[in-house]
Amino acid sequence: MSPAFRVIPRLDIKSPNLVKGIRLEGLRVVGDPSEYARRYYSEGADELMYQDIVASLYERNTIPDLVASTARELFVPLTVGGGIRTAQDVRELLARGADRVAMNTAVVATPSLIGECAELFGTQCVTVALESIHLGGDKWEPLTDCGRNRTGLDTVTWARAAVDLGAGELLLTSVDRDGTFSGPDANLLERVCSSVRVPVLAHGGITTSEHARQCWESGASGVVIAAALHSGRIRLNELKSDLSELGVPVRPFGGEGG
Amino acid sequence: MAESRDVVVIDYGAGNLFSISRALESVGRDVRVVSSGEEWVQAPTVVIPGVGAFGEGMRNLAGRGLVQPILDHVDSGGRVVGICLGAQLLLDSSPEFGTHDGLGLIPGAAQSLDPTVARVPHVGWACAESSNSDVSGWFYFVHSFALAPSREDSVLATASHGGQEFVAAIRMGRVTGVQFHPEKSGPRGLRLLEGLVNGSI
Repeated sequence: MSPAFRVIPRLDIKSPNLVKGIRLEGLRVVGDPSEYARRYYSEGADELMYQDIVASLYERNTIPDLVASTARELFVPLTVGGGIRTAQDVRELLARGADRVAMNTAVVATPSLIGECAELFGTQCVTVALESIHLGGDKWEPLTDCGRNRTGLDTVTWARAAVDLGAGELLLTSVDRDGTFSGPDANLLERVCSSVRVPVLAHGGITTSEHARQCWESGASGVVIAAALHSGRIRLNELKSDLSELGVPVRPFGGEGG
Repeated sequence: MAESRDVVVIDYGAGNLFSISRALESVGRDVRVVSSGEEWVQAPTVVIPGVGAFGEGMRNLAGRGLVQPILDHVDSGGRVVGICLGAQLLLDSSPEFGTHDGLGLIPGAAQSLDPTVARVPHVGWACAESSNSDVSGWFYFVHSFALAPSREDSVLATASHGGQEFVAAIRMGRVTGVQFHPEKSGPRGLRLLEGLVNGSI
C-alpha cells in the first residue's frame, strides 16, 4: 500500500491578511488567516502551509507571530515559507512551532544553505520550493521572489540538485496554473517525481478530487491547495472522502479518529 | 497525595519545544523547560522532544550536561517519553551523518528507511498498530531513520511506509519512545500524549 496521500491547505499571507493571487500576481484579500487555519484543521487538513508572499520583496519576515499563534491552538504540522534567508531564520521559525520550512529565493542564491539546514535540523525539515513556469515542450524554469525574477535554471535539473544538497521535500508550484482552477501541470509533476526520491507536493490549479488523483498518479505525495479551498469550490472533508472512493489512500477523516 | 502535574521538557536546541509544550499544557500539565543540568528539576515525567539530526542532538544534550540527569531520573524510577528524534536518542546509537552514541536506555539502534521501497523521508500520516489500543491509530510521522530495538519485547507499536514495516514506538520499563509526533496528530495525538505522560498508557 502506498503512503497516505496528504491534502494540505496553503495560506498565502500578506500580513495581517490571508491573500490569494492568480499566477502569483494580483493579490486579493481573502480574510483572517487564523480563522481559515482553524476551519481547515477542523475539516481534517493533514498539514497547514503558510507562505509570506511579500517577504522576499521587502526582505522581512512578518510571519513568526502568526506561526506561534497557530501552533498554540492547532495541533497539526505546519510548513512555513517566505523570506527565510539563514539557518538562524529557520531556527526561529522552528522555535515558534513550525515543523518545516519552505525555501526558494535564498537557496537559489546560496544552494549550500540547503545542506547547512539539513545538517542542523534534519533533511525532513527542509522543503525546497520550485515555482515554475512552462517554457514549452519539456522545459520549465523556476522563478524566485514570488515569481518576479527568472533564474535561468531548468526545473528538473534544479530539483535533482536541491535533493542532492539535502532537501527532504519539494514543493512544486506550477505558476501557469496557480489560482486558475485549471488542474495540475501533470507533465511537470511526472518529470520531477520520476527524477527524485523525496516526497513531492503538487501545487497550482488543483481544484477537484480528479485533479488531486492525477497528482497522485503522477507520483506526488500530496497536494497543496489554496484558491479552491478559500473560495469554497471544494471542502477538505469531501475531497478526502472522494479521493478514498477513487482509490487514493488518505488518512480517514472523522472527529476523534482524525 | 496526587502526583505532581509538572513535566520536564528537555530543551537541547533541537526545535519543536513550543509545540510540545503547548500540547502538554493543553492536556493540563505544568511544563518545566530544562535547558541545562544546572536547571534540573524533579518531575514524574521527562519528555525529550526533538526535530533534527541525531549527532547534533546528542552533542547538545551532552554539552548542556543533560545526559546524566536523564539517566539518574530513570534510575530513580521516573518516566521518560521520547518523541521522534527524542525516541531515537533513547537507543544505543545511530548511523545518521556518521555513527553516534545515544542514551542507551533501550537496547538497539536507529536505522535508515529504505528509499527504494518508498520516498524518504517518510512525511505524513500512518496508522500505528499495537496490541495496546491506546497506541494504535493515525499519527503524524516525519523521519528518515527508524527505531530498531534489538529486543522484540521493546516493540510497542509498528507502522508501515509504502509496504515497509518499521517500529513506531518502543518501550522498556518506564521509558517510552514514539517515532511519530503526538503533538502534531490532532485530538488523537493529544490523548496519547496525556496517557504517556501520566503513566496510564
